[in-house]
Amino acid sequence: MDYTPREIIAAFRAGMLDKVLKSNTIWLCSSCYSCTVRCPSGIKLTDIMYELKRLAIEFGLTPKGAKAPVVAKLFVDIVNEKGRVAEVPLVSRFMLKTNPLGAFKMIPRAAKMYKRGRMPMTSHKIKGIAELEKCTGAMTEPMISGLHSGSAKERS
Amino acid sequence: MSEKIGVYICHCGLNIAKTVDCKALAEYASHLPNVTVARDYQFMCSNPGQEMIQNDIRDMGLTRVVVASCSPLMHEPTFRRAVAKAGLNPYLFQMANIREQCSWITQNRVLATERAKDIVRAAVMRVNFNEPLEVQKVAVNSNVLIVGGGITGIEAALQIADSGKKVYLVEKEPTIGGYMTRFDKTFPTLDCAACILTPKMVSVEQHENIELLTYSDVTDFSGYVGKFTAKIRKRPRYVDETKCTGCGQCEEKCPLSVPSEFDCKLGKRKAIYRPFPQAVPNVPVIDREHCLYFTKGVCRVCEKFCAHHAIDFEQKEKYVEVPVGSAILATGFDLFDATRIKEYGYGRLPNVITSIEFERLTHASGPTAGKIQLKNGKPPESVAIVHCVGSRDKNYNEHCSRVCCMYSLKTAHLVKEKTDAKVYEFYIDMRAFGKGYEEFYKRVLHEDVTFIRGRVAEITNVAQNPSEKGKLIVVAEDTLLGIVRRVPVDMVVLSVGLEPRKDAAQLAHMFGISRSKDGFFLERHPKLAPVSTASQGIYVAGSCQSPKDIPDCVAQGAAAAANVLSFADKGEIELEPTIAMINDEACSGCKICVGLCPYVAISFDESNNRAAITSVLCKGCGVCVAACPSGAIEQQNFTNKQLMTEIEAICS
Amino acid sequence: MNKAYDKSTQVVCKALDIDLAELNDWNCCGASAYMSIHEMKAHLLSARNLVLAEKEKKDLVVVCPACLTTLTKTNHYLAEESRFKRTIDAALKAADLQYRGSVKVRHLLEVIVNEVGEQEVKARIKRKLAGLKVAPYYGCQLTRPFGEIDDKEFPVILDKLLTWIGAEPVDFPLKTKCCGGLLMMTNEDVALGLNRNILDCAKQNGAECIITICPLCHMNIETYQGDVNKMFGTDFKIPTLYFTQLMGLAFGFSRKELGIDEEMISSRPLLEKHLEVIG
Repeated sequence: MDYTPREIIAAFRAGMLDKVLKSNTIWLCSSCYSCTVRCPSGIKLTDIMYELKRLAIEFGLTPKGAKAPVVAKLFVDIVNEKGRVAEVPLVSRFMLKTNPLGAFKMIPRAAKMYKRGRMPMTSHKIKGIAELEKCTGAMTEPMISGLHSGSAKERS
Repeated sequence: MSEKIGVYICHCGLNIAKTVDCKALAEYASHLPNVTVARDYQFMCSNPGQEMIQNDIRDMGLTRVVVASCSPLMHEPTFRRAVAKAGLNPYLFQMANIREQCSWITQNRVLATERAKDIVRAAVMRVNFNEPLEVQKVAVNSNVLIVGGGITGIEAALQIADSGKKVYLVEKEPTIGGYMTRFDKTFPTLDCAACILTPKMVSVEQHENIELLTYSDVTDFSGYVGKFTAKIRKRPRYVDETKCTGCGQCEEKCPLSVPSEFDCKLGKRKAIYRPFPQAVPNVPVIDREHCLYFTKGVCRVCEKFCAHHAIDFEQKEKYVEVPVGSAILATGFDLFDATRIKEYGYGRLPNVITSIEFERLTHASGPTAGKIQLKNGKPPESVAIVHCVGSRDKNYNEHCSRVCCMYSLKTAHLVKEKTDAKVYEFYIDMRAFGKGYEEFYKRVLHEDVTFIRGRVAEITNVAQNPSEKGKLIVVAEDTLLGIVRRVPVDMVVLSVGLEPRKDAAQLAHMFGISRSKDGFFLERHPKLAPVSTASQGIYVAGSCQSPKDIPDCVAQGAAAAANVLSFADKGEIELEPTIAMINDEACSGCKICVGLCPYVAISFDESNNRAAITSVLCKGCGVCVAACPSGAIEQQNFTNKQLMTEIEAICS
Repeated sequence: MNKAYDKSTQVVCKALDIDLAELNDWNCCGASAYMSIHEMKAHLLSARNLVLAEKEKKDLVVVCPACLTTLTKTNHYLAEESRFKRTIDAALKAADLQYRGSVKVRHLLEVIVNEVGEQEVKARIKRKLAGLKVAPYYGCQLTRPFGEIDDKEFPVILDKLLTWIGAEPVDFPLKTKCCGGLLMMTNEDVALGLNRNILDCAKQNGAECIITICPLCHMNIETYQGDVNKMFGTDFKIPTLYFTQLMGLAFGFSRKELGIDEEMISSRPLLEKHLEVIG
């Protein structure tokens, strides 16, 4: 990681958050919660990492070539569309966006997995997708930057 | 004849005046019924302030006084004394708190002034119904009970005994001296702990005014301030103290060895043992749980070899009751159990040890005769010292244990002195606050100890590369560098924190004192009264009140002694008369109050079917007053009439 | 990817008389990805699942720790934070949904160990796993952050279950270290390094097989073992099974029934060595 969590918090306190939002640290967080359970000050650091991820995307301050925000956005699109995620649509869209050549390299592995029945090809669309949309449409996200506070439609 | 009330509004500098309009308040008060005079002044508790009240009492014949200022906890005694000096009974004085309960809880001037008016009005209406009360004087027994024979208890005992008063010093271990007996050197002077402690221990034993009860506990503590009775249980050593000369033959001949608690189970002792050679009293004790005679009915070798016939397997526990006027609790601390922090590997990984275990390793009379070595007997090539284990941590203890930074430095110094090992010290802060402490830190900095600023995340034995194989790897962020470091070492010393003793709650309950949020005994005031408690006659000193180093323990031991002596020398003390009184005619004999009294001050007279309060025991807590279904109990100076008047005045 | 987990779970639960019904029309829990973009909407996804489970009046049992964590988090916040609850309730109301807070979210492992219990599990054993040394890999989100199921750093619940079915869990200090999760897709180098440590630790401690309780862990540890070998020059070939698959084997079910045929690294030689039929 470029900046350790402690440095990120110090940057925040110094009003220099933009400096660290471009670091790779927050996108390297896999939410393993080791930090949260050990922090002697009881800081829920993992939740802070999530918040920083959302801030980075909102301000468009992600590190150059970062793949994690891409995956996250695709994931959200698929869930909003179908209600569930399947690996093939997610991975294929992701590879096309970030590394089209790499997609070719993955074909042998993909074939092997397909042969063993481990490649669900499409996402199942849930019946309650309209219901889910109604709920998310009525939801207002908490204002972070003051830029957006509206519904899903406003934000996308 | 209606009362003549004087009302005094204090500005308390700006504490009250900034938020409450004191002039308007005084003006308002002057128009309340029965108010003869209402003034406002900057500092009522000052001499001019007090004189103002006294002059008014004399000149205007005031019969009641109300001061609107700070909390009664702060200055009620001050004003009561002032009023008494002018010839008015001190209980005809009423305090109105317009600071802690008014000006300090809001910034809104309008609301604060309105609220202050309510508070003053309530006090003025109420004070009409205050009655003159007389304090009760009781004689004070000059004997002192000191619970805990560590350095703090020893200091207090010697000071008090030197002044001619009798001290009963009770210690639960077979020897006095406490934790200090197990330390090798002490910071910052690197004095040998035993060298400075043992002479004091001997003085205690030899002092004609100190009765030393070791291997004993206090099982009951009753009575009231100035006249307590302590019941002490003397556990059987199975050795007659009067006959034993401390020759040590029994220990030598005993065939059974068991792990030694004194050596943190790193070494062995016999079933008949003295914890360490300089124990005071220098009399061994038989460990009933392991002794072959007690467990299997055989052996008795010690008895055979004792030239003075001091072994007594038939010895029973003895109870003594001693009268004392006051007590000092100096029961010390427990160390944090490092197995609780699983990621540090204590108890799972060999060669992760605690600071006290390190003390025993480095001690000349310890299990390794002073050699710092790993479990396999070899000296370590590298040692890591970890700060803040179990302290400053919301998951374990939030408090800072105060001594660990300094003893960690000492540990680093000792490792450097005795081995060729590379020493790494992982710290968050370096708390070197005392006399000579910062200088000691600088000294250790120059001794080639590597300091890494970062709280240790985990200690693991899973190697990630060949240089880590077979080592303990300490993982921490080097915050000055901003990178995570993995430092492979042979031995890790965990600087564990100090906690209240496991039996602190039980002891606090027995002596009628409280504990603070962190579990240590609660002092009366953290700055102005650190060794007294809210319970008169009971004092606390040393690390049972909060973690502290030896200089502070000794200081508190002496402070407690001073408190006790001023108390004992008075010969008598005054008891607050704001106690509960039972109206015999209204008492229905239901006995509800008897079990409720936390001070066991209420007894039941079967002959006339009435409850009766022992006034010297009553602390005026009010529980029985509230509980009595017949309304037969009233509290002096808090009668129903007084309280209802206050409430009605507020609601009007 | 997790069809094998699903298959083996169904088979084992049936054998243990656990009444397992798939939650009707459940939606994705959002895992860590959705939460990285939207906070409250991510909680909404969990909230809808809780509403659906409450309708069925049953405990909500999951086999994926990510689902466990997101659902439990939402459940806890709804119970403890009033402003959070108001916001979620208002959004649910828009679709005429309501959650009363009665659902318990659990992981199947905990249900089996705590509710079904040792006797019932042992009673169904038809094959001995004689001397099979396994590394119980818990991953990061089973016991963190809440620690409700077991210790946050060194849990033993899976070790216990594995001894019940006759396997030999080895000492495995990295048992709760993260496999990287989605990082395998986005930062492959980092994730491969994490998995290398886990595989190395298992091997050093004599494990012949790694047992997982999470589909993403399973994928990273198993499917990418070859990539780990390529990057670090190692030669790991450690078969990886879901705990339900191993249980199923002990209960006498076939490889096909348990989805073991779908694996990338064959466990056949290993199991042939260690499986014995009882009586």
